Formats: sequence, C-alpha cells, structure tokens
Amino acid sequence: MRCLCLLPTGILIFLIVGVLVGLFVHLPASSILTTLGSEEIAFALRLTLFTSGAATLIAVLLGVPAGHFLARQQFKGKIVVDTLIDLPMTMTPLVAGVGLLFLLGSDPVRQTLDRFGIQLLFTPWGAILAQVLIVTPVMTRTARAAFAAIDTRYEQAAQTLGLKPVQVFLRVSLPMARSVLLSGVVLCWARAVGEFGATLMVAGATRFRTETLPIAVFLNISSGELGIALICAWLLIMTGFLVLLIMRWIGTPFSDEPTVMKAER
Amino acid sequence: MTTICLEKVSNAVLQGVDLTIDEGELFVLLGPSGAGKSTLLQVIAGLLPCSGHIFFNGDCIDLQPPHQRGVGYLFQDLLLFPHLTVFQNLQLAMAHLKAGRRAENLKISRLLDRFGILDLADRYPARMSGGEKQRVALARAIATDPRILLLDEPFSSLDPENANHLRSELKAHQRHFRITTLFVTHNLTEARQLADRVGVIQKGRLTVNVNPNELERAVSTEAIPVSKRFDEPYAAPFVQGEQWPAMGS
Repeated sequence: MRCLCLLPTGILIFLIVGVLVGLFVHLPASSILTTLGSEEIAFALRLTLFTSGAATLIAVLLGVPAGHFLARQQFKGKIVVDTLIDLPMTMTPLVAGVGLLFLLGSDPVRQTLDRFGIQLLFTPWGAILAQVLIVTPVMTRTARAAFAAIDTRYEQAAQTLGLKPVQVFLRVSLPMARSVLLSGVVLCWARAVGEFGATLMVAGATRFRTETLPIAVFLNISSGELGIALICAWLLIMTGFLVLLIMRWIGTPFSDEPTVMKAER
Repeated sequence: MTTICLEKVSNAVLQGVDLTIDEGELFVLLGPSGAGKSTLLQVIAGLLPCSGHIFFNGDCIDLQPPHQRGVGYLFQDLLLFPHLTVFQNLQLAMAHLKAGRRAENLKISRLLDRFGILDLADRYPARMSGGEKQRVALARAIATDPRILLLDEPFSSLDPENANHLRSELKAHQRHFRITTLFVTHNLTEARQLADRVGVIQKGRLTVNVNPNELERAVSTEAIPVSKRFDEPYAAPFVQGEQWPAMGS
C-alpha cells in the first residue's frame, strides 16, 4: 500500500519541482538584480498590489454580508442564488472577462458610466472590477461557511443582552468567524494577484498602464523578454508561497481562545 | 421590578398558556422534556413567534424585538462568547445601557466581586470550570439590568453538590437584586429549593400553579403525577397507551 501511494506522490512532486526548476534555470542569473530593479517590474508590482488590494477590499465588503445572508436566511430559490454566486468560480476567467467586457460596452451601462465620467474599460479600474468578479465568490463562499459554523444561539444570546442585529453581526458573528474570514481574505488576495484572463479582457494588456504581474509575464513572453517575464513569474510564485504559509499560520488555533464555535458547556 | 403576564400564549408547542409572575417573584416551571418549558422562555424573550399576548408591567410587548424586551436569558448551554474574556462578556451585555466607561467598569467589578469571580475577569470561557461558567453567565444576564430573568435548566449539567451550592447562590442573588425570575427545570428538588411559586407544564399546557408548601400535597394527590421521591428528576408520567411527545423544549 505504501508503495502504491508513494508513486503518485512522487509523480506529483516531480511535476511541481520540475516546473519550478524549469522557471529557475532560465532566469538570467547575471542580470537578476538589474532586471528586478527595472521600471517595468516596479510598475507591475505596484499596480498588482493596488488592484489586488482594492479588489480584495471590495470582495470583503460584498462577500461577507452576502455570506452571512446566505448562511442565516432561508428563502425560495436560495439554491439558485447560491449556485449563481458560485458560478464565477467555475467559469473560465477569460469567459467571465468577455462577459464583463460586453456588459460594460453595452449602450445603457456605457452611457450611465460616461454620465458620471467613469471609465472602466482598458484602465486599471477595469482590472479591479475584473478581479472583483473573480474573487468575490471565493469570499462569499468562505464567509458563508464561517457563519454557518457558528451556533445561531450565540446570536440569540446577544440579542437578549440588548444588542441590535447590526451590533450582533459586528460584535459577535464577525469576531467569532474571524479566523476563517481571514483565511478567505488571504485566498482572495492571492487569487486577485494572479488573475489574468478576466483582467486581460476588461483592462487589456498595455505596458505601463494596465500591466499587472500576470499581464507583464504575458507581454514579455510574447515579445521575447524572457528575463522580465521570469522575474515576474517568480514574484507570483513567491506570493503564492507566502499565502500558503500565512494560511497555515491562520489555521493554528489562537493561543488563548477556542476555535470551536458550537456551544459547549 | 416587573410583573409578567402571559395571556393565551400559543404556538406549535404551547397551547394557551396563561401565567402571571409577580414582581420580584421566583417562579419555577416544572415539566418533563418536550413539555414546552424552553419554548415558553424563548417566546417571552421574543426569539420564537407566538399568538396570545405578553405583558411586562401591563405593557404589551408582543411586537418588541428581543433586544428591546429587557430580558436576562441564561441558556442551558450558557453561550458565553468564546472570543471575549469574562470582563468583555459583561461589557458587551452592558453596551446598550450606555452608562459610560467608568460607571460600566465599576458595575462590572462589583458584579464579579458579588459572584466571587473577580479573579476570572481576564479569562476566556474555554479556560473555566462548569461552575465558574455558570456564575459568569448569571452575572452577564444580570448585568443587563433585566426586567425579567429567564433561566433554562442552568444547573442540569453540574454535579449534585455543585448544583446545590449554586442554587443557594442563585436564590441569594435573586433576593438581592429583586428580579422577577422564571426558572425552568425538570428537577423537583430544584423546584422545592428555589421556588416562590411552582407551575407544572405538560404537553404545552400549564396544569398546576401552586406555592411550594402546596407542592407535596399536589404530588400526593397526583396533580403532579411524578415519582414520590423529590431528590429525583421530574419523571414523565406513564399514561396507558400514550407516549410523551418528543418536542424540542
């Protein structure tokens, strides 16, 4: 049995390490530092941090209340709403991006945005919107699971203590769900950092304008600038690695508090 | 102090419960599992819907949401917030009183002192014993300055010695704060030890409403059809061909 399990594990490790080695050996060793300090990488990094941070913030503002609503409320057609909210997670980001492009390009939406002087298509704001579309379902799903795991009687107890529903949410539900929500935030951010397909469709791929790290990889591979592309790729890999480390840390129970949210005596 | 009056309170479990609890009185509601004891408490707290009317000091509170009713509810599972220390649990309970930070802290310290748990102020619920949690939960319920205290079998999971001790403490606190109290239990000993008046609820109906000194007579005349031994938990009477409904009380 041990040998049977060892073989697939070995194949998996070979694939992952093979990809990393492949990306590593092609790094231009002599010019890593100069490439890393290039203006293009600095721009891509700055834009990625800005768009992914903004997208994560919006995803939290939308996803956490939506997750609470779905975890606590029963209504007709809930299963349809649930499935619809999850849909962008299963859609190819490229397809989601095409849909968003058509939506923003349609006359009523375009005219409304123009009236307010808002330009989303082929701008960094469009990149943020594309990332929001892709990562908000992740946040909603995580939040829904987090709130569903909390015994509703804690919320009832808070109500009998004189707390209004909003206070119950802010002072009881939210703090009790915080470790799971935090892992959701980190996941969302990681997903936003690496988002490519939808961003490409909505924001386009313009150097020094909508050039996030994944777009920079795409642009530089296309133009044969392997050095910049690989440095950007490694920055994305390091981000992913950092996120996984953080997730493991968050998964550790807080030192002086329980993680079980079901009522216990 | 508040007089509580229930008029024909009904829902899926309760069937037209009429009950008046005088101000400062400790009323013990006795009944077997599934009789509707906990349901009645939840209805009074506004956590479950019902038909009929509920009055606090003559004011109808039917339409008031739970956070405006002014009840102190001690749940069977206590439900201390695990992410807050003892002090913070009480602080949260007093948030709506808007007493100001200094007055609030003073009141919490006095309450903790009175309940003998001042040294637990910075501790999280997960790090406390059952008895300590009971005291904290009771202190938290009283910290809200409730008009009525609702206690749902709070001592059922404690060992007899600890439960007996805490019952004496509860009685003393109830007398001290003069809070109108409704205590539900399935334990006759508890009813005898605590009650100013005892009611029996069976299948969602209030069937007996007596003084504690009339309790034994009620038992002997089988108005309360239970085991004659008062040290035993209330046992559901067996009626030929009839099962007690397993309703979630």
